[in-house]
Amino acid sequence: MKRYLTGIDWIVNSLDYISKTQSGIGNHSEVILELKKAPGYTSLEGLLNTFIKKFPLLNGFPSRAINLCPYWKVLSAKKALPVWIKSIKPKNDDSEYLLPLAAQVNAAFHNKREHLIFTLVQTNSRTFLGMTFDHRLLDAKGAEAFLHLFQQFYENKKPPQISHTCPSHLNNWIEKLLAGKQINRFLLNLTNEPPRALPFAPKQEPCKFRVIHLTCEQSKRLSNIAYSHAGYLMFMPYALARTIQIMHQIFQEKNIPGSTYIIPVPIDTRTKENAQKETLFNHFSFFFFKIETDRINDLAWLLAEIKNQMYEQVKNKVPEAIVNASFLMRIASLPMVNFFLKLMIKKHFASFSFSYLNNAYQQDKFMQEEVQNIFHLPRTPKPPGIGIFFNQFKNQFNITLSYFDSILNDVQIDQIAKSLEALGNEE
Amino acid sequence: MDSSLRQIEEKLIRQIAAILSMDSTKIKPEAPLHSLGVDSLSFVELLVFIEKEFKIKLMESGLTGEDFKTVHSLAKRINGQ
Repeated sequence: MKRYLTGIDWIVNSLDYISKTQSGIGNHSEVILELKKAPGYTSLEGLLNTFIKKFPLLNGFPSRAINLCPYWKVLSAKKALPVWIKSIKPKNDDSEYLLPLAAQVNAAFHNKREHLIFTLVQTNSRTFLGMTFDHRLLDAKGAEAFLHLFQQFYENKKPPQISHTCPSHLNNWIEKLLAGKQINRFLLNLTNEPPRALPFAPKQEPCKFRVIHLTCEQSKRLSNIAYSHAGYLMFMPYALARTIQIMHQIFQEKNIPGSTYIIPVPIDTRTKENAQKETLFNHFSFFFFKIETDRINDLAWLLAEIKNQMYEQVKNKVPEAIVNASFLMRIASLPMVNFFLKLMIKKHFASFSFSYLNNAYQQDKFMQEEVQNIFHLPRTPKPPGIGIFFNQFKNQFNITLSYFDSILNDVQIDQIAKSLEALGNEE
Repeated sequence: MDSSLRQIEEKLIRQIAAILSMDSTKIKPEAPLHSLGVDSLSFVELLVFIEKEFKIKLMESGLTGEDFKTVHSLAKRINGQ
């Protein structure tokens, strides 16, 4: 059985290849549920194993079909690997919960068929359940949606109705070639001069994290200020604008050359109708924002610039063209995709990573325990080697700073973290 | 309600349904956009449609919550331009 990979899937596979070449660890991320109490270990393990057997795709791996189209090889459910759940109790205080969770996202999977590992962390008074996942199989929204389906399965014992099929997309070549031409021009225009980017050491090093949990009151304040400055449904442009301003200070202090920033922002392409069917694999495209450095401190100008670029890209159907053009990459092997990506984007395609995720886990409980918060620990690819990720669970925002030691020192990371936290205190 | 306002409302509802891949009969004119599942991306898609269909660039003219409170209020704003 096979599931054909889309062009976006193939690019994600390429990022996984780059990450493994650099560090031996793939393109992983982790979604973490903070629970009021820990679920029973035995029942959690039993139920997860039963649930995961419903998804034979979870033990697959990429391969290439006779028609040259890459696909995800699906093995029989009978060959399902048992799911790992690590249980950890840090000896010290509550603040150490992040260390075991971060250690897991920095660890390689045990073999090529393993794509999920669970970590249960219990401090003196807090409980966290982390699901480390392979980005080739789940994107961030898909990971939350997968846990949402697990909870539905726990509650009604009915397996989710998900179709795993995907056409080979070996048709409409004119449309794909025209999209390729459009995106080639778009990227050439975007990178006609190298954007500002932080230098990093090409060495193996663990990805580090800072997580800022804004309180409900801080989150409400941030939401209100975003609304008053950026307008209705414009939280993402506001969060991006303020993040650019915060990062700009660091770039200025480090005297990084260049007069523009380029920030790719992933956007979810699932329709409401297909959200459940499209839980697995990758369903996103990108906006690319190019911001001149001169007027960054002028928030009104910066917001207008971001909103205008977003509008123009939607109007010119850039996100759709990225998806269509990416199909053309599938003919190339992963090392060749890596080569082409570097060539096309002249090694620098991002000053830093950024994303905003609205919650896809829409349950109050996980098994029988109350869910208090959800946040993510994504390993940022190098380059750019640093990323700021906003996510929302119910009425609460979390901001994750993902970075490598060779990019910025502790003082600079502290400065960014404090500025991000201050977003929740602005009037 | 005058016929032009009703026509604008109907066009908006059809477009929102197309963007969100949902049944247009489930969209009520009184429904706030965010409650229908409209996010930043789908909202901008709607603004692009409004520019093409009604020749009004709302992204530049400010996005107040009052204008977008419901499909009906958005239709009124377009009708009043």
